[in-house]
Amino acid sequence: MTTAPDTEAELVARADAMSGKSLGELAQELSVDVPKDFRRNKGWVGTLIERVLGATAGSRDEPDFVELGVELKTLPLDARGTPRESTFVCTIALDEVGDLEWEQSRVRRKLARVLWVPVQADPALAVSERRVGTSLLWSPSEAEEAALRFDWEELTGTIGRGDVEDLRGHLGRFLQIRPKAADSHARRRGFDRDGASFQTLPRGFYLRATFTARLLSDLVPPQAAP
Amino acid sequence: MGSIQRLPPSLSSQIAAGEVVERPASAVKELVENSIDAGATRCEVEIEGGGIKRIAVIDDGRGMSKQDASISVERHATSKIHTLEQLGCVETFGFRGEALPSIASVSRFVVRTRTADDDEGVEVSVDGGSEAAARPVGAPLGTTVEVRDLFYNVPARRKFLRSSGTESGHVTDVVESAALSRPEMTFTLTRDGRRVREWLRAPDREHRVKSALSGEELAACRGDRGPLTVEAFLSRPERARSGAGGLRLLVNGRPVRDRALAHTVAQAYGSVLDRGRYPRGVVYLDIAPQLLDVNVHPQKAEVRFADPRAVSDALYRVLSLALSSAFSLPAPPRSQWSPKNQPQTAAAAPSEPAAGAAPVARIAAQPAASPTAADGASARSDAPGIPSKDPLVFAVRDSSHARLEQEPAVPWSSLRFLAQVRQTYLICEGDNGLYVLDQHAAAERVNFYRLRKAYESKDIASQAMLFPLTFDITPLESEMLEEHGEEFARVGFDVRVRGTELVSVHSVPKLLHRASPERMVRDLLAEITRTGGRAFSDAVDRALATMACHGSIRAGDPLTADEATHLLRSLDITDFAGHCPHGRPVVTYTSWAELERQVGRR
Repeated sequence: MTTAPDTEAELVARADAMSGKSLGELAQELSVDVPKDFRRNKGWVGTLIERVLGATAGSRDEPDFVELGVELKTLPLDARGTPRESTFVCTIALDEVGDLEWEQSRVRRKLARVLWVPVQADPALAVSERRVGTSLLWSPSEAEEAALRFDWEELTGTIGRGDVEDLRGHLGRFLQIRPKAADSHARRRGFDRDGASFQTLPRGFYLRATFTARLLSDLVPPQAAP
Repeated sequence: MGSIQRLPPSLSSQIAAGEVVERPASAVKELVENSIDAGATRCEVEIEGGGIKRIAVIDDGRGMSKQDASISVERHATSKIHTLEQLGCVETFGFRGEALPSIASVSRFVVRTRTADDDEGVEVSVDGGSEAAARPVGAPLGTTVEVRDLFYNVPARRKFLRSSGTESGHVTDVVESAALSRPEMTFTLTRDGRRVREWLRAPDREHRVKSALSGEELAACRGDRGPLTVEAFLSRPERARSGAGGLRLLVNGRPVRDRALAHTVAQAYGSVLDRGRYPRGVVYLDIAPQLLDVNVHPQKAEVRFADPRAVSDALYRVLSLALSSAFSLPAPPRSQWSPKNQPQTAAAAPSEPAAGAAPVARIAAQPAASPTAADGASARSDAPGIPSKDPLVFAVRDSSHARLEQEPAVPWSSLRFLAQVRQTYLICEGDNGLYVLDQHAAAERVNFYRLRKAYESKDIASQAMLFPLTFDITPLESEMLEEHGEEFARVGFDVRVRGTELVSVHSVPKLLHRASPERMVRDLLAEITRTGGRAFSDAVDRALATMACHGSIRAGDPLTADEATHLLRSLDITDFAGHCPHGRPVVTYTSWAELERQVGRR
């Protein structure tokens, strides 16, 4: 079991040492089996990377590296190096979020310090052959935070005024709200415009792929390295 | 009687002569240098049978008195130095007093001479090193030395001589060197009764070089650093040839062979010259005689500098600065360089903005302060002729006194981009004509320049790869990588050995992110392997050139007008902009006049 890193530098060094290795190599180092696909193993890659780097939080509502205050996010990328999907940030407490300011928000807390770990996710590649890319320890720039805040306030404002059912995936430039549940039967309590509570799908904040793609724009994409 | 015996003087003279007089050309060299040292304004050289049958050197110098003429054929008799201290600052060609007796000991030798103070001249004859016989004769002012039947009494030496044609060629070379050394003198060479070469008195070195290397387009480079003054006239890179045979080096006017200096001259061209290739031209180095030992070679064909590295550094800096902009634009068609159109200053001809001439940078010299003993040169020496190093005297390494005035060539950015053809060539219009650029060569030069600048300032920006690239290498390459990881980092790579035969590239130079990292790393490894890994810095220009080549716009890449214009602008700040880092010309040029001639308009 890899112990938790004591410093950010140690964390970065571990991520650096991991870059370029295949998931098969990493799994072998940890003596774990590599699944053929992720249909029954959702989250396998994230868990593997957490173990390699020594993340400790598990599923608790804390940063993955508690002592360092660093969140770990894997980024599945296609063959051209573009994120294949949006990135889950955190769930939303529908009954509370309308009363919060950005500064107290979980989104801000979660995204304050993130270690982004790109991972090849080209379906043409076998899982064990997919490689881990160059990690990026990131904090939002002023401009990025301003953009995220703008989206967050727009979205939570909608929830706060009781229009949670109006939220659609297209709202928000970088941050979006989408249902987040294990299945379609899950429910959380929400409020309508009149303040009456009702049961609705649990929802979560996601970062759009366009946002994470911009974070990677300083790295040489794979198509430039034939 | 013991087995060790003293050799008779005649034999020892012949043996000693072998060091000085190797072939007819060596005898000519010694005699011509005597003429120069005698203050002659004219020196005529006549040879027959390649100089084996007869050599005559006739000058109008100050001549010798009867007494001096008689003693001149005795070994170690000279008028040029008298004390050991003088050997440390020799300013004449000769100084040992060996030449005439050596030649006289292996030939039928006659010297006729008269000074301005004498009414009659004197003739001294020596036959194969025999006793000198002197008699009064009528003679013009100056000295005539006649050497017949060279090596007639040393058959062992004579049989090693080559054909008369070859020996004549060597003599021509020697006389041309002397002519380059002394532009203020007239030299003639007559071969078997026919005058074959003539160098009329020239106002300066530039004119002399022009007449000696007629037809060659030369860049004039001048500068001085500390006690060293450099004046060079060098050919275009594409006129370079294998070996340094076309490059003449003259130190304080003395023609010398010096592989290190020749190498430095070639290095000043950067990567545009392939290894082993040297430009044609002439390089004059002038330095205080105290900082030079000329007494290191029997024929004085080599010299030793008190601080050879500093001389090399200074020469490199002066030449590289001048050459970097000298050949930015293409040579005009040969017809434009006909004598009629040729500007007066031929060596600087490329720079003359004469009608139709290609506008190449002009390099003008600042008058250099001539180094003198007053500069503080010490005459004390550990070895004869070599003063001890004195950093105050020879602090040229960090000198910022290189004085070169450059007049910019026609700016590349002034060319108007017209079109891209075959997705390879950029057609541009200038005031004087039509320019066709090779887009890859041009981009390669720009990238190479930027890379080298960044390398020199240890500031090559890296760009991390999203996914590190892994590939196989040989165990030898793996070792090289382990050993030279720092050098790879200096050129912008993060390359990691991941086993004896596996490597991963994590970062590449930002300027070259479009190139294949694997290809670049393999090429760098090849360079290091080729140099045995001893001197990466020696290979760095070549390595950077290779990297620039891989990372630049290629033939076949479509270019927008903006991109083409940007490329032209970038060439303006680039040295050697006329050539890609491998020496290929970036551009060809056709003047409007030439174009009109070709279509019959004029």
